[in-house]
Amino acid sequence: MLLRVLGVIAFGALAVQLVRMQVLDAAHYRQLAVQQQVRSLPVEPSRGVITDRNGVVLARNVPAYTVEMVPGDLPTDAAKRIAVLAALEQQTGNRRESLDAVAEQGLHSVDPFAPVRLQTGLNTEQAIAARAALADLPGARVTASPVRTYDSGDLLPHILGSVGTVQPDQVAKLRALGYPLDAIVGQAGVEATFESALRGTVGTQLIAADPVGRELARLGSTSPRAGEDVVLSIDLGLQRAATDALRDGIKAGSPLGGLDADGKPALAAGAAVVMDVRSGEVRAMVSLPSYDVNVFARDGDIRAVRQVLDAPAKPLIDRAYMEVHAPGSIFKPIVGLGALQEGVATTQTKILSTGAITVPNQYDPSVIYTFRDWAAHGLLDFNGGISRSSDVYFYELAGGYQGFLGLGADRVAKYARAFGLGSATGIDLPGEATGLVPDPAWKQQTFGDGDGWLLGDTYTFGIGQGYLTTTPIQMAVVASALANGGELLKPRIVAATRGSDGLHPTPRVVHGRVPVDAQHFAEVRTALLEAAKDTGTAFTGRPQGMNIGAKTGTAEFGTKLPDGSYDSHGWFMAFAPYEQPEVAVVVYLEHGVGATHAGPVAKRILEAYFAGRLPQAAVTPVGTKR
Amino acid sequence: MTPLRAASGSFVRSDRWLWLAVLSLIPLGLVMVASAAELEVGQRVAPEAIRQGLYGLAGLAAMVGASRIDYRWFQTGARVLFVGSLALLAAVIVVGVAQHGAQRWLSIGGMTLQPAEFAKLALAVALAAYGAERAPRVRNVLGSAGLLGLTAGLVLLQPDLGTVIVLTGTWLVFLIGWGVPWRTLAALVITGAAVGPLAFAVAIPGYQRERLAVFFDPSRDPLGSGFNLRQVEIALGAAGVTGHGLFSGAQSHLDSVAARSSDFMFGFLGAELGLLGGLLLLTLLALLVWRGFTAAVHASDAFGRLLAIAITGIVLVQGGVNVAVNLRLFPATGIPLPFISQGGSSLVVMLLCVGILQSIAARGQAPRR
Repeated sequence: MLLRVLGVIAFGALAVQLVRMQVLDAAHYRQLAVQQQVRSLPVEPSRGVITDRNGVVLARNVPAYTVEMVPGDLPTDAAKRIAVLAALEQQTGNRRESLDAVAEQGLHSVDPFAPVRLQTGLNTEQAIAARAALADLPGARVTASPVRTYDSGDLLPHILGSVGTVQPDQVAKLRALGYPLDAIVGQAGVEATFESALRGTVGTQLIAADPVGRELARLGSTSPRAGEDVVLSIDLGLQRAATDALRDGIKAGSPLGGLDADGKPALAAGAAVVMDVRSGEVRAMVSLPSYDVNVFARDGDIRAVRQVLDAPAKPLIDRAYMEVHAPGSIFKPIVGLGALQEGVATTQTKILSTGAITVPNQYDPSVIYTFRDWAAHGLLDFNGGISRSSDVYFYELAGGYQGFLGLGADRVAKYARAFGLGSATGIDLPGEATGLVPDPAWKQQTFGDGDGWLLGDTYTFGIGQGYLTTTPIQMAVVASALANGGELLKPRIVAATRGSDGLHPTPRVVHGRVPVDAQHFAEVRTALLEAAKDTGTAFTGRPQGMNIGAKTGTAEFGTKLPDGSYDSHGWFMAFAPYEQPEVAVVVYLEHGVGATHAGPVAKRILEAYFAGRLPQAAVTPVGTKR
Repeated sequence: MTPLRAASGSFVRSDRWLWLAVLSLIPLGLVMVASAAELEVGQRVAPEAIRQGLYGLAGLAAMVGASRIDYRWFQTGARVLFVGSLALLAAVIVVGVAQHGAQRWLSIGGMTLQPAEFAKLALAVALAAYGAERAPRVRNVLGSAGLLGLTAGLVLLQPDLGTVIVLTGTWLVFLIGWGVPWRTLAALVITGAAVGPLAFAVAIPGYQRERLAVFFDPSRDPLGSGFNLRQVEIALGAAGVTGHGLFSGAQSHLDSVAARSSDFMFGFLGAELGLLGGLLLLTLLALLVWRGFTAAVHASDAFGRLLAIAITGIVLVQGGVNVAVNLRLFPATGIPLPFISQGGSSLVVMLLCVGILQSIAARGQAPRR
């Protein structure tokens, strides 16, 4: 039948063509295959820049120049070769004998066209000089490559982070994403969290190369797509003001003689956070001590890098979100809010502070424990308890005393967690610490049988000390929630990314809502307003002519000082303006007292934030809006 | 006329040459898919090859099953099958999954299904059922063209020009087998040649037009299909009689050709196994086609005869075009190599086709070897 014949003819014809290609023309194709190896090379996109909220450029790319030797291109003629090596010796200071040896060694004996980098980090003028000196010398060349530069120096190194070469533990993940092994990737801060946006899309350059790898022809290319720009929610001006204020606060708060209780130099560290209570945008976030972030971008400056890495103050740690400490009294508003919501107390609940309360040991009543207040405040109502920051008042709200029923540790823990303590805020930076909210079950599990959870644990918990630890950024979220009526906002360092297709704002994220009635929020805010008045402990943080809600904290730590007192961390937490809250400010000092040292820092930050608006605020009389 | 036999016992009477061809092609395909796949660190067998093997098992079951049931069941079910296939094609356009710029896949419970592959078989069955009851007059030829047009039109919307070419080629083979006079066929071809350029300008998607242009001038797109064509040509030509050897992807230069396991599978096979491998594959396909048409010659009724012709036509056209593309005789169209290329739907349908051929052969009337 005809079709059978047709089918065989068809496949027969194909077989003939196959034979023609693979037998008759095989030599031709072999020559092509050997002569011309097509290689596809990646073309790196330019990395996006990072700006502050006003468009001030914080991180950008500048060209840095490298003097390279390409052994495969060196002249084979001995005299000419020596001339090139001599010029390279003159330029780079490498001895010509060692240059000659390198050219024959290791990788270069296998791939003579792999460049040897001789001198890196040249600026434009140096590069021009080098190019002139090495002009027309085969095997020597000056190449340009982008280097990340941070114009903001040591103002926000933790937030910007750094870029660097691929680390061994990143190889698998990055290769899957198509990174070459010599890629430069974000290693910390926003450079790391927004790596994929900043990087862009790699292009391809297709070249035909001869058997030793020399480029014969460019066959074509796809252009890389530049990375997106990242717009921080940070205001560089405010960041600078906050940094200056914090630096002064740290100096003021450091112990006399600058020594710790154990005689070592005291750690001059601290943090400040300014967060928009409506959007969660972080307007400033300072951690001191700081470092110049360019240290990590510069090639070869190992000594400067070591200096940062080995500094005893650990400048790489961002105190605002990577390190946890007891919050002290700025935790009290949470306990107060819980007590109001649970009906344990009302704003009229009166408690007498004689300067201390005593409780007997629950197993051996002959042992009496004393829990001190920082002063004998007399009879206080709720506003007084918060504004005078009475410890006795909050011992009793948390743990109860002589017939007064307190919240109990579990309920204090419940409200602490409702404000997001003990878990990450989700800030868009790597390495966030979560802190700890203790409760009896946790203590049992952690310390085994022992004494279990004691009444004293509840007391210290009630004033924000003991096992409780938080980060400044967590407390900024707490302050924001107090100000905005209970919304737990995710703090955002990045306000938007900007690509060729326009601006992509990062979304406002609400993690949850604190389950407390609006009325009680208002009552606590009133108490915090009271605290920031001249009779309250937090008056040191209030700018002239503005109402704010604020709370101080002084958390004791370490060993007893010779005068019987303890060293302490100083905290300050505020939201402002009181009537229409815009921002929350949290200040943390490694050494210091909340009212004396941290308060003035917050005041200067608020003055910087409201610069130009304060006189207007000053004419608004207290209480007109309520 | 020998009366049709009962299904039982038909297995032994099926065509052993056909079995030989298909049972050689399946392992060859699996090895090639495994060789073309890129292994991740720590993997010994490519997951693509394992998946292809599972599809192969499903296809084998379908093939054996189809060989044992009476092919005339398809005559009864032709309408349902055809309408169902059109519905699936329409579904692809509405809810399908897009890949590489075309919407060709239906996702069902994590598996993807390529209805265009099933449409080939459904069209073959429909043409055979249509032709079995009608004489090959011009009017009926136009009627059969309507069946083709419905299927091809929906496939073109995806867009999938490769399958349209296979469908059209299959239809032409069917027309020859049906006994359409040469004059009518010639008229058809001339009309096609006249209307073709117009259709090219109007209905052919841009990327296909570009592929056609690149066929004539590979340097036009050195990074895309031109690059692929050139790489395949050099690798194939340089492979010589014995080839670069299996799993030698890097040396055979095709590691940068993404479609080496589908559109360029023949070139890849030729590069790794050389002329011997290429000729082996062509021989197996030719054997399969020969025995398929032989089944048609001995079929006991008109439906069986036409069905065997149409089904064999699918294998002939699809295999021929894929090889021709790889040998630079035809523009790159994106047609898989039957039995060999990676792709579950294609493999299962191809094996199902062979099963039906066996069913026709087993119930044929001629003396058997």
